[in-house]
Amino acid sequence: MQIYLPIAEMSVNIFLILGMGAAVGLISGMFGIGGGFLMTPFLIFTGLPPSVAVATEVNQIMATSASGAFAHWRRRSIDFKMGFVLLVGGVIGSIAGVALFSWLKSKGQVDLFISLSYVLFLGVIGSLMFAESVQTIRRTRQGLPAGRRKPGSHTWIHGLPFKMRFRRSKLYISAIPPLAIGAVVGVLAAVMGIGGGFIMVPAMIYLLRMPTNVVVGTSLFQVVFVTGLVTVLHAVNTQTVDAILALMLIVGGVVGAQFGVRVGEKMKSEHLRALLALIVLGVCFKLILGLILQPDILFSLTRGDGL
Amino acid sequence: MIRFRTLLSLTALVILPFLSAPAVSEKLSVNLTTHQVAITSNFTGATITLFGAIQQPLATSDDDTEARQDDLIVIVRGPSEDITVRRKERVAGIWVNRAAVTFTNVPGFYYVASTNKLENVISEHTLNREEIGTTRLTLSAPFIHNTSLTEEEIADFRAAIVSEKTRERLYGEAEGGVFLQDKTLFSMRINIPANVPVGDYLVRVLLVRDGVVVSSKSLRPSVNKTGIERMLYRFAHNWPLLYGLSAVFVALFAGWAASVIFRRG
Repeated sequence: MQIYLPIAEMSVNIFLILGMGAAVGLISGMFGIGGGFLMTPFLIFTGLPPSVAVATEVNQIMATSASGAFAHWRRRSIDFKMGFVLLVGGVIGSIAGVALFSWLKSKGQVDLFISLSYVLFLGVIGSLMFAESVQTIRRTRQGLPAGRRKPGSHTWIHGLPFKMRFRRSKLYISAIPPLAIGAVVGVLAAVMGIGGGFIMVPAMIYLLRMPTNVVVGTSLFQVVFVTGLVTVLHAVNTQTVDAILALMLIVGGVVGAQFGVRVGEKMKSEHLRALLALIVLGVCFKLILGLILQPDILFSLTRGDGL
Repeated sequence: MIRFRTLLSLTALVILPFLSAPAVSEKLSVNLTTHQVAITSNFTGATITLFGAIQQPLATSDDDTEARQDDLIVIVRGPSEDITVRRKERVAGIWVNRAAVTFTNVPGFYYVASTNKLENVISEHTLNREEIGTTRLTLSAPFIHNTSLTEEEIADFRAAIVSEKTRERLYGEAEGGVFLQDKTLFSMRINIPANVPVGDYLVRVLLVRDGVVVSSKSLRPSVNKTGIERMLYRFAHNWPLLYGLSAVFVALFAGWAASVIFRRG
């Protein structure tokens, strides 16, 4: 059954979109991630214009993150002060990111830029995760404890100025690192259509040394507002947010995520991470092929004067 | 269109005195099965049928008994748009968009059907002037970005528009696509794909006798989004800020609803 997307101006198979939403939702429920870094390439693979894929996916991530953030709010596991500092960075980053996106779009280079960012991002994250999980699997087989990183002593981060006290996280650190992390995540949300929890959570644990019980809630809090802002900015600048597509992705994603949580609880975390790493590397490989193989048609058409 | 009308009347002025009476009063009536194509949520394309009648029986090429030769040409043209064509080149191992050319006045939809091979119906000069046939479209290229291109290269860019639009089934030609019945009734099908541009269309029907257009009719159907599709599209383009904020509230509400429905315990 086909459904017409009013903003993308094309018709897609409704079951394909719902199915992709559910599949990525399943993965996101299993691994506790947003899944934007898989959904955006999947949407591009189905033939949607990359700019519509990015802007619409950001809207879906907002819904997914909001459901998580509401749950964490009830459990009081959000550090609002830290979230706010990350958000200030996120606002700066996403405004810069949307400006970069619009500029690249006018130059006809946005598709290439999205692909290259994904190759780099997925390649690095996928390799690191794969290496780390294989190492953990080996260690547990040999009966060794799965090596935990010890909370380190002072690093260069503690020498930075503009210190702030974050009571909920029991931290007294400079505002610069959370601002910078927030800004990077904001740029990624705008140009890649991802929430960025994927890199924000490790950064909060390893760089800021936040207690793990507030990390996920605080990250989701920031992602909700950043993706909300990016949705509005894309809607205003490029009119690429497709409401019908977003709604289908939200429905598919929510249902998939609930099953994913249950599947995830039954699997060992290092096996989960190895599996996720393989999925990430697979998508990365497909994108690399798209960049290096000679396309069937060298010419591409876009509406407008391209200036 | 204005140019074409002027041309018709000029042709008429020059030729009329030399033609026999019936040619002057050659009557052509045409209509479409629909004048409004509505794009709805389950739109996967549409087919419009053009039908018509001619007062005097046509003398087609397979009819050797007639001295004259009659043919029909139907040209369907969609709303014009500017199109930027980019050519990929290999840079450091990856394929990158490099040279770009912007063409103006590119029809978003173009379809020609006729009762005969176009070249046998009317002179090449007229075909070019009237832009009959996908290869004869006047696609002017006023903007060439970042690089200098030769005329031949620009011709490749121009050809790329036609081949890409043909691949998307937005451009097409059908020699023999106009069907005749009893030499007085005719019909043709116009297939409209799902990715068709919205706007006003122009359908021209030309009756050509011995290489001269003796009668013509124009119809102006339109393609429009309707219902929720139209509403959303207009909303997104006319009130983008409000549209963005609505998308945000829908997402927030969906997230909140999911967190309540799937609340643990």
